[in-house]
Amino acid sequence: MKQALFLLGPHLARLILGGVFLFAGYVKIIDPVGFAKNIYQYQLLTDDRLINLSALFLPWLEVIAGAALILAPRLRQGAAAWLILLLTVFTTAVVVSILRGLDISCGCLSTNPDAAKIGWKKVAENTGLLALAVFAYLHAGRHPSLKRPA
Amino acid sequence: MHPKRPCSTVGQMVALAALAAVLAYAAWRTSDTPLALDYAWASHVATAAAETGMRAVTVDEAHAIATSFSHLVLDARKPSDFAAGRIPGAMSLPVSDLDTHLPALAGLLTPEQPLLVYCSGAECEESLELGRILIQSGYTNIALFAGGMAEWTAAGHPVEQ
Repeated sequence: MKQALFLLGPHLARLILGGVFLFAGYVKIIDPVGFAKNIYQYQLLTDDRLINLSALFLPWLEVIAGAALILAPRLRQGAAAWLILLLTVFTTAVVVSILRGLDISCGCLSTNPDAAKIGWKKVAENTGLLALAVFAYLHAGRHPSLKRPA
Repeated sequence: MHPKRPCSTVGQMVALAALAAVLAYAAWRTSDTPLALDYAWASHVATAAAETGMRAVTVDEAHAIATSFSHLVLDARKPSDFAAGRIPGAMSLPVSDLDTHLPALAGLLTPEQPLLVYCSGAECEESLELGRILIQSGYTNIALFAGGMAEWTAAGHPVEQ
């Protein structure tokens, strides 16, 4: 039982994390203008070109990293590393914006301006996902196809 | 035959980012309504207001309007923000609670009444949303001050509390 959990844990972590990022990326890919507006409202990027390029690129990185984490054993360490990096940047942006008193929507799992506003609940959610990403990164090598030749 | 060793974490990250960049570029190129790379977000609210049929005004125009009482000035922010500081003479009409306030307003104003709407600053959209709802409700003369409270205070204009 303990061994089964040990083997299942990393798979579950990858499925949950990969699924969340596939969804998060998809909703932004179908509404790049809405996501660019979300980025602008954080007031952390001031260059319009950088805002718009980020809005076009980041959702695809989320989708690719999420998919690779689930489907590509040989790339999942890199995928988990990207998700750790993205979650760190996103969570820092949310914390900074809360401290600056901004009343903006998160732009995390929806680009709708009426969606969930940023807050400490979102920080807690992201921290949980970050812990999951670190776990997935540390267990990225546990796959029969990744055993080194003797 | 031995399976290939996976490449380094950084190598994997570069490969994933390159794939994401190619797909992002392809999606952008094939989109029917591609996001313009130089779209100016600072003037987003003013642009959207103009497209909706509102007149975007500068801080100087907003000041002239507020001091001449030519328009009814409407604050679209939360009541707590309104209480903390507002453009002198402004009336609170939070978009979050329009169901109660809008019918009361309708009894007092004609559709031609000049209205000026604003919210906290260039990033907020409550004024835009309020303006859109007012247009849908039949009001025809709406000015929007996109710079909002942030630009008003930065210009040194008086704040009512």
